[in-house]
Amino acid sequence: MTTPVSISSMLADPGGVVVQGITGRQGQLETRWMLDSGTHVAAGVTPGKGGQVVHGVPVYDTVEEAIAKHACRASMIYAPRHIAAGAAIEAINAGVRLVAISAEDVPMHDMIRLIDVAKEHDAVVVGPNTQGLLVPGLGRIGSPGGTDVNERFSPGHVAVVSRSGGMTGEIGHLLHLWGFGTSVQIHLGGAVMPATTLRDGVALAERETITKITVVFGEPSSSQEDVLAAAIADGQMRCPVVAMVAGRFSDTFPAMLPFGHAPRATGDSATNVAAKYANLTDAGAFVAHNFTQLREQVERLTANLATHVNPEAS
Amino acid sequence: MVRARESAGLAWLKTQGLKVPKFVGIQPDTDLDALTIPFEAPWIVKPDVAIGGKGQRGLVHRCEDQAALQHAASDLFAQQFNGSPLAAVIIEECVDGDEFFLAIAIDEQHRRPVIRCAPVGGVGFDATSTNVYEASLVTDLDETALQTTIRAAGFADETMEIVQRTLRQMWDAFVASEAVLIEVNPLKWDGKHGTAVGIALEFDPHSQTSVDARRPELETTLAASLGRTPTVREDAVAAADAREADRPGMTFFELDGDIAFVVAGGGAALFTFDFLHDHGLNPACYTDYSPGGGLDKLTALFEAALSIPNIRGVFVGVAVLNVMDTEFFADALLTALDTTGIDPHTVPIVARIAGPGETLTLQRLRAVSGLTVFGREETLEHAGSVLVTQLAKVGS
Repeated sequence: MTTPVSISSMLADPGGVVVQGITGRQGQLETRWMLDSGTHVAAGVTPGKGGQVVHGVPVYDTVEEAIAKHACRASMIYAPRHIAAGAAIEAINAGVRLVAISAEDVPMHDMIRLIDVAKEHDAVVVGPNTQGLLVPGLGRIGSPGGTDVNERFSPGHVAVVSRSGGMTGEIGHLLHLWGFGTSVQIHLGGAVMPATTLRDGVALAERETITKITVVFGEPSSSQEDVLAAAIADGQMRCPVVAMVAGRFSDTFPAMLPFGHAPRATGDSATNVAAKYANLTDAGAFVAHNFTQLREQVERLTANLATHVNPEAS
Repeated sequence: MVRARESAGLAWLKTQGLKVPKFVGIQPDTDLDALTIPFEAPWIVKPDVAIGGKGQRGLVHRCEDQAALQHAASDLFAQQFNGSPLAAVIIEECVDGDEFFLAIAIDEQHRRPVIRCAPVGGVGFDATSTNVYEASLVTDLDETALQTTIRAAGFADETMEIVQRTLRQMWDAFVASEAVLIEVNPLKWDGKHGTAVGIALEFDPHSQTSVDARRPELETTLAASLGRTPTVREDAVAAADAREADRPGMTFFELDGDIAFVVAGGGAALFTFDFLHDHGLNPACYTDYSPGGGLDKLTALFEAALSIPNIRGVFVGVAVLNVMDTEFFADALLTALDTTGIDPHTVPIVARIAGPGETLTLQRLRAVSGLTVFGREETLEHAGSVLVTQLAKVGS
């Protein structure tokens, strides 16, 4: 039985992070940012570019080669969309436990194969189309916070798990301004078939022992919010969840109109935002429709933490 | 997802080994009086469109003779689909027999392809009640497990072989074409043959390009996703998006409101739209621009949004950006103001723009008389509330 992956444990691991696609423009830029925020980027990989050095980080031709030298446990992948899932499988097969994929529009069949491989190896994959993962004060995998991560975010007890990259940062920034700070910020990616769903993302955030409250940001498409609601109702979540689901207005428009990151469901089993809110409320989540309500919920829960934390859940 | 028209789908399934009914297509200019169908009546007449549920919508007609066929075809050609007249009607041979349901679909809950089958099917069949076989794209189809699923679904012994063979053919096609859905409903069983009479096909628009040749011809028009004829502005944005297809894409479509709405990022757009909607404002468009799309796309987006007739306010929003320079937003907005001639003194414009280059961007935009611009010190909601207030003043 392997130890469950947490973001902070991966960032603190002496093996460090490997960056796949490190020699590309985005790979180079975000590697600089990761290094500046305290992340130990131990190695980079770009096939055919082995022997180069990027910001002091040695580049290898294969992940296997990089892992053999550096024992990296986490990977940030900047490979193009058509090879991104393959790159993730290469990393997992080489022993990496946490993978984040930046590319958007990764083919669904590729993602399904990757999800199977990750499950078999007990690895965590975040993305595709993720900006990355951040533990304020410790480091980040990817680009959250850009050039001014320390000004925008601060350590705290509230986790942010979001299907939107922009809103992950926006909410993290507001929590900083409101004086709470964040334990971890996880951008799941807005894909139709994300490797880590809202429910799994909340569970991942709760592995940070300092997490006491989780704020989630959902969208109209998919049933991830409903699955999360069922998990909350089942007592699976350790911490109280404050849920925002954007796109209430879209309930009044035809489902074919492409609001949000992914297509909305159609047919008899389709759910809408109002139903997601109802399910989350019924399950015991604390819902917010705007930032004012979000702040009120976090303030109230913070004042009553001992009452709300569920010690039975893992 | 992208879909195939009925005729393209049937022809494709035939190449995959499935038996399909004989069919012919006719166009609006076909002389129905002179029409000779190369197979005997009765015929099934339906629109040749890429939408499912045609039977439930009353669009499928069984015609016993030429007169009934002419009437059904004329009736269909008189209807609009996605805002346009119907381009083709399909006439199929009528196949009688027992109806089965067979489908392979990527299932969000299972996070895998699932195979569903039932010895009943047809219009209005509830697929969620079927037995499910969870397949894997990593390993090949487990024929023994599939057989067990078919048997558990209640198929009679004499139909086991045709159902298993058809599902195997569908599975091979599903994998080779990176499909999202291949549904045959119904498969008509006449005691000797199984014929795929009703079909629904969906494909991942972002699949590996190597599978393109292994798919039917697909409907990818903007009209298909909007359900109506695109406006000139929607066409212009789609063209700008296509010119730089290697960059992140963008979404723009018009609505019935009167507020031009340009927001970057899918989540921020949804969130801000909710706020404006809650406060009685109705956006004239929905936009989602992915940072990284580049200046040309962004300019096309602003020009389209600001040129929608009769807008009475403009909202520009950006969640704090990580990578993209905010100066792109200043460039695109100022260009669009110039080309559209919108006057911020009569049409309130409120922007919240934050991220790299923010200080310079805010300086440039605040230098333009009439613009109200916020940076990261204020939220998207605050900017929205300022627009609400400004519009109330203009209206009073």
